[in-house]
Amino acid sequence: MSRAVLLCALSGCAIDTLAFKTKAERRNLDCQRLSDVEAAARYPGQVPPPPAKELAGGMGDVLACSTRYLQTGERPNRDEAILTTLSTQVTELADSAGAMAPQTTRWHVDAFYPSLPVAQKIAVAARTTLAQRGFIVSDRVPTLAAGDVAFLVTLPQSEVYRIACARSFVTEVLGPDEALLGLMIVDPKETQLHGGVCLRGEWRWLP
Amino acid sequence: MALQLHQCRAVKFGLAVVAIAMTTGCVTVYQPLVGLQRPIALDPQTPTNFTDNTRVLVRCHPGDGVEADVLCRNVRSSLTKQGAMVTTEVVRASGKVAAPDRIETPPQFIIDINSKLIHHEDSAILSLLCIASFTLIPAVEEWTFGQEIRIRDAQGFLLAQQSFQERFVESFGLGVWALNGIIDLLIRPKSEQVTGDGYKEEFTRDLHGHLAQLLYNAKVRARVMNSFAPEPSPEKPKGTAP
Amino acid sequence: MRAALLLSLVSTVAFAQSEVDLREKQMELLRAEVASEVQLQAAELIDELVYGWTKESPFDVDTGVVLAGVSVPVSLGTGLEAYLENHVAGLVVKNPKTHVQFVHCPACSAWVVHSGAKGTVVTRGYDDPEALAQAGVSSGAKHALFLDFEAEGASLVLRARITTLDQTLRIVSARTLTTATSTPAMLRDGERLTSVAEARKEYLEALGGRGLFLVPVRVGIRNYASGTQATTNATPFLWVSTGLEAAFTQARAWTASINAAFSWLPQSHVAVMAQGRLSRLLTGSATSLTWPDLYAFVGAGVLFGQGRGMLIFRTSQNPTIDEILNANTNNEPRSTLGILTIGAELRVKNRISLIAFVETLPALENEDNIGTYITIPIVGLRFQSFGVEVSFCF
Repeated sequence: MSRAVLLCALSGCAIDTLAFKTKAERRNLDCQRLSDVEAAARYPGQVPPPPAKELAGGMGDVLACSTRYLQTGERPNRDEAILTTLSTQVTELADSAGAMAPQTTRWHVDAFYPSLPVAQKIAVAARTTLAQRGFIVSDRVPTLAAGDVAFLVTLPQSEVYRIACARSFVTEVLGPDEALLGLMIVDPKETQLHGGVCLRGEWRWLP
Repeated sequence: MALQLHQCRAVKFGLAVVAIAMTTGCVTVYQPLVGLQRPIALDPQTPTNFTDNTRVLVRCHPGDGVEADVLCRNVRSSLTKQGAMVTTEVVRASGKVAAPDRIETPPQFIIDINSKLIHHEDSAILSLLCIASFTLIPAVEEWTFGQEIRIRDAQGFLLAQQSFQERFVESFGLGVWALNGIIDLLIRPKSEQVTGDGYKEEFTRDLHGHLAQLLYNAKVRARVMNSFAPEPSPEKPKGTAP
Repeated sequence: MRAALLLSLVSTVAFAQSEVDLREKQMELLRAEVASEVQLQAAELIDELVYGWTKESPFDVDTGVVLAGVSVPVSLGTGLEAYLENHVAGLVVKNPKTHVQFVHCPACSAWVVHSGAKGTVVTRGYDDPEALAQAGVSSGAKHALFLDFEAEGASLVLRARITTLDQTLRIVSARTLTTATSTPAMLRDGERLTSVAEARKEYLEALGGRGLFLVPVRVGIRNYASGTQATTNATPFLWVSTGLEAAFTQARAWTASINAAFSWLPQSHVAVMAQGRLSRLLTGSATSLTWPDLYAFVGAGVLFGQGRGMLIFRTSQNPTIDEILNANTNNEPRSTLGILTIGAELRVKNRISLIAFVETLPALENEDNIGTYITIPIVGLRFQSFGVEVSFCF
């Protein structure tokens, strides 16, 4: 809402200095439109209750904006895109995975992502989500022998997870009542996570 | 006689100033609200993003204040520059398609773009004050648009979807235009200037960038869903020469 | 003209070259702001986590837990980790109902190298409790707590999990909490943790408890412009006033007040005034708890005064020195005037404010006893008086 100061005095509004904000400041906000009633309930000290606005003759909605914690550019674009939607993506994948194995299955989680800190965040998010859903989750990450890993890194994306899963089962890294939820990106230019479940030596991609 | 001529010239000059103010005195600021401010990993300027025979059908649905055919045309241009083969359909309000492009090979991906005007606001009081003050006090108008984008594969399976919202605030008046023009000239770097059509370029860059990213994500998801199987070559319609 | 244009071009180029420096400085400032905001919100999330434990503890009895790790959002520094570790430790100590007792185990967070039949494994101690046990290092703790914070857009998310410190490393308790920059931190007291709903209720009560009525007590001074023809000037009038102010809503965007004022200067005048004011908040649509509020107001009043000092307000003729010096105390001059006021008030938390205003005395519109500070040309309105006040509200 952009109004002159004089008009604020008459009609009741907040001064919007959008033109005098830098582009970075304008882009650093997540905004949503709320009705007067909802905005007054959520932000009681900042938005007057609806009767006041009606008294002043103003009727409308409220644009509520929150500043993003980290500005665009602080983190690499792909990392930021994935971390911004981490909860949503991980929850969907964890829910899909949970439906693919019996309730008594012990889950392990690992994330395969170029940046180690981000991979850890993805794995922690998935573990926490599965544990909150009531599944048995272990913090342990099953690891193959060094020789197996050295061979697996030479395989294409289409084969590596399937073969790693089979190998894990054969070498008893994963037991028959254990499952591994793998979260990864498949292409360096994508900003979505994929998931797959390794259960009894069989790898299945999550829908 | 000389005085009348002088007065006549002064009136003409004043009218010219007002006319200039009315044609150029707009400062429009664009603010991404939902989705568009998030970063993307894809560079939409790269001409090889979709070169491996990516066939896309873009369907633009009508909405208030939105020209669906212009939108489809711009999206086709953007995706074509990135290497995709694009056909478009503009869906009329009645649900029928207006003059669809001739499709020789079926598309791999279908992009549905639904646009709508979510919010519009302008103040009659400010407009009156603007006129009364010869546009020294600006008249302000605000629009919020939303886009709902869904990408499906040829079988109708939903591969990706996202919602965007953006806001445009237009201030009309000689005062605000002159003030911002001076600030643009003396202080703001070129990328931050608010006078001119920079807001259109910024919005177009955002929307087309996110559309390309969404399509790329959908393409990768389709590969994963098909277990990385190579894509079959498109079936030619019967009767066409090999 | 050409020189001015060239100068502007040069200055534009100079500004463009320093654009990178300007952006870097902006980023530094924003990083500082973000760091303090993240700190507050992260502490808020820990408060909520520990409060949840007081209501539903992860353990039935007091249990030793190693604080295995606190990880902060990617790209933020590690200084925050130390602050949060101290904060959670302090909260747990103050809230024994959680049944969580932190245990010191430096080896748990140290790197350990364990060689076995399957190969050599390098991990942190808490990831390989077997190695710790073999090394004879034991803290006695059977559980480890991990806190992970991440900034997801405008939300800060805490993922807390407690795992067993054995071979299975099973997660026995997990919780995800989230907050947003638009939600102010509740700043709960560590020794009296309350739920978010209760803290919000207290916040709303603090807002609502401000009340619609206030009693302002004002001390001010009014000065009058020197006249063109008068041989004397009006003395500044010192006023003390009190009254009642009412707000139309809790937002206090519109307020109205009436007050009675008294002024006295020995051997000069005694005056009383009754005034009403209508104020409108300019700095937003509701008063702020953290920032000063700026009001604009208009008012009208009546002033009645008696004494030599009121001679200057006589409308029929200019006062002379003889009249002022030889005024008969039994027949002191009196004057009754109407006043119109416009002004601004800067108020802090509805307690103290600074007021500046100008006044016009319509009865003296065409008199030259008193001069003019401001004249509004279109309507020909003369403001002959300028005043400032300090106000205390109770």
